[in-house]
Amino acid sequence: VRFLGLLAAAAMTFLLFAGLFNFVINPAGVFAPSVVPPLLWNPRGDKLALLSAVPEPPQLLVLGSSRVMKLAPRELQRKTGLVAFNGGVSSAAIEDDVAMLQYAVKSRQLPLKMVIIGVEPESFASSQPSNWWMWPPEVIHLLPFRVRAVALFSRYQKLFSASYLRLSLDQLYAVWTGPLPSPARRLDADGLVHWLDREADMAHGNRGFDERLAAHVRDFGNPYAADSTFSDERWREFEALLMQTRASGIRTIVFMTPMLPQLVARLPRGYAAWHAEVARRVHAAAARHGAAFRDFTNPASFGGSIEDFYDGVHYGDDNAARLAHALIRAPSDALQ
Amino acid sequence: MLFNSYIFLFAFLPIVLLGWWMMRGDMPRLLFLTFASYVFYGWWDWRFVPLMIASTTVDYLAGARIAIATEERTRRRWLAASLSFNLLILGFFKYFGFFASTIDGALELAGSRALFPVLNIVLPVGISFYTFNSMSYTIDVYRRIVTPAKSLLHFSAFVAMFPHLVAGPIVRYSDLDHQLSALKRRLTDSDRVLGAYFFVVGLAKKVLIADRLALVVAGFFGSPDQSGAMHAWIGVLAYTFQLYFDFSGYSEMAVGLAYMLGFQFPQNFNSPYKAINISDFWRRWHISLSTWLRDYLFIPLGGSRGGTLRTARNLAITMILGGLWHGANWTFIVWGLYHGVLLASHQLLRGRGWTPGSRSVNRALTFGFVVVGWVFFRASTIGEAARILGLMAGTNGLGTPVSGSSVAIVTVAALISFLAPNPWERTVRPTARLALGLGTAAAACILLLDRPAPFLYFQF
Repeated sequence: VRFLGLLAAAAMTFLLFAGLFNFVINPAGVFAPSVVPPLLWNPRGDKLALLSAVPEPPQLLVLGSSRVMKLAPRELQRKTGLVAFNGGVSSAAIEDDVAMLQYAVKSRQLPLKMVIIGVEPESFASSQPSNWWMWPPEVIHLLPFRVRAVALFSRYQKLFSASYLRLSLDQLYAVWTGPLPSPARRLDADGLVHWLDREADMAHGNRGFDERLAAHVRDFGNPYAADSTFSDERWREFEALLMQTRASGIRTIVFMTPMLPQLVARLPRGYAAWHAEVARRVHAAAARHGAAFRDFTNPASFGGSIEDFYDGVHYGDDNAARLAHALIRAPSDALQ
Repeated sequence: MLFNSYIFLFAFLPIVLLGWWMMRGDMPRLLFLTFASYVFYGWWDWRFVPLMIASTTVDYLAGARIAIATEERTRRRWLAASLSFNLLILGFFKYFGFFASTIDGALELAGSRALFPVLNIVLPVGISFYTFNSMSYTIDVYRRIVTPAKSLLHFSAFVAMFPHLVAGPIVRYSDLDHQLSALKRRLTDSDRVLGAYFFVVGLAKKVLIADRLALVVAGFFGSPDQSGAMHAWIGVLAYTFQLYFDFSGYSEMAVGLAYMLGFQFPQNFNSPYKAINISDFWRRWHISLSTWLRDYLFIPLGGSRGGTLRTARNLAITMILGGLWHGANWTFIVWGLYHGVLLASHQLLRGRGWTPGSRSVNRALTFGFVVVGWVFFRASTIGEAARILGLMAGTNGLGTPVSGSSVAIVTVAALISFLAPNPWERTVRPTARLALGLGTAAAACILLLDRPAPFLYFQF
């Protein structure tokens, strides 16, 4: 018994020390004390903070992943007359859209009149990794019920994980050696992102188009390469989200986010067919629940330019403006 | 459920241990253990639990019938019924797709239409292990090596016992019969220490070494064609050690869990990369499978009693079937045949005194042959295996240098495999130093659990 007690005590001490260290260093900025500036960007926390601080309550909310984060709220406001906010967060799956919408409607009680949801196959894939742990606790309870407990667990489990410990050590090292690396992106007050690193990369012509595509496939290849199967839960939550917006009288536009054919050509065989199947299902769901649907997979569909893509899926300001224009094309889309 | 998951470590295992040691009476305890094992198995896919229950029931009934039958013909019929049922299950779930696609492919080549429909059959985890556990029981009852199980519950507990259920060791009923009949009432100090020792050592082998090697393996086998010889060698060596640390880690965790429940499982690995010839390797690698194949296949085929040619034939058949046991793919058949040829050649050479005298040379040669075999074991197709062997031989040149971290983890794994005693060779004394060491290792493993990787042998 003494042997096991000593073994357990050693393990606990080690874990507690690691947990305390991670909590204090807080490299993703998800815990209360931020002794040093976070190393890992947490768009979920930042977007919530911005949404809480907007001077005028938004009436139009953009939801989706990093592939919608360039949609300029000012442009959308000009087209619709509605105060807009971009609530897209990177690596979003459907449950992130659900959380952001619930936060806007229930916690902030925003008078939403329109929601624009950008989706891609990865939004529904069972293999899409979840970043629920990055949501603050007050939003975790707004996530779909099935993931709440896991989200809460994974938030605190991060404290006792090697990956977070490594981030903490990297952050401590960065602070120690200073200066901290300049941020790779910046958010405007309306949620619009500026990809500083990608913009600089393009402006200086650091890497050619092919090189950037190859880098994207290398860095983000896994979600594409993974077994592409629908998550039934995510699909149900997406339909529930559409039902909720319809029931609340919120005009909803769902669109397939752009993806360059040159990128699709580099992805595993079968991806294109899967993408088409997702688009077909999303279209049908949108029609069923009274939402408008736009398929902007191909940049030509919204007059986009291949030149204004950082990689196969993230686009620049010009394409974002064209996308916004194409999104709000029908008179019924401009509500005022 | 994975041994290296939060749900297992922090919920399932504590509940099962508490329940097991707090309950009174053998039958309730066995019922609890069996039920818990079904939960453990069903966590992955509950739909396959009835299949295991059916297999267990058929073998239990067959065992009972064989035991009471007086006529040899009746005994043999019941044995055949049990074996046919098990092989039918295994054949359908594991081999139908392979044989169907092979026959359809051949028919297509001959210009005929496909004969079999394409069925996407899901392979139930651990089916190869529990059918072999179960089959050994009816064969042993038939051979009168063991007496039939006291009750269906005893037999179900033996088949389903979660520590060995999904990836072995392939425990025989004779190993557990007396232990199930005389369950320990309290956990002894020795079992407690050995349980913690084997479990933590196994977990560390898996999480701290095998999973790190997995990154090197994935880096190479993901797109091998562009690699040079250096990357090919480091990738194949990384796989060689990954497989060992992953599978022996699982086996040792299973042994540790068995100790925690008051049972003893047999040793499954005995430093296989220290083997001095290929026969020695098979006495050290996946011992429970190699002895199973020896006792239930090689010896019934005639073993080494009928001269050199007959022995070689028996070895080839045994090893091909051993290869096929791992998976329905030509690569496993070639791997099995390769080992069959190595074993037969070794017997022949040893008989004539043509084996090298130096122990180190023998070890190096054996290791080299085993590494080449693993290329077939890991590759998806024979063609891919051939290409990888070509890369190792330098068909793409030396290539770019390998990263220092890859070399470092492969070197650490090699040093442990070649030089360190295995967990069974150490005398375990419950010292404070050992407790602190195991505690620290356990904590390091827990920190790495946020991305649990399945065990390689789950696919078999």
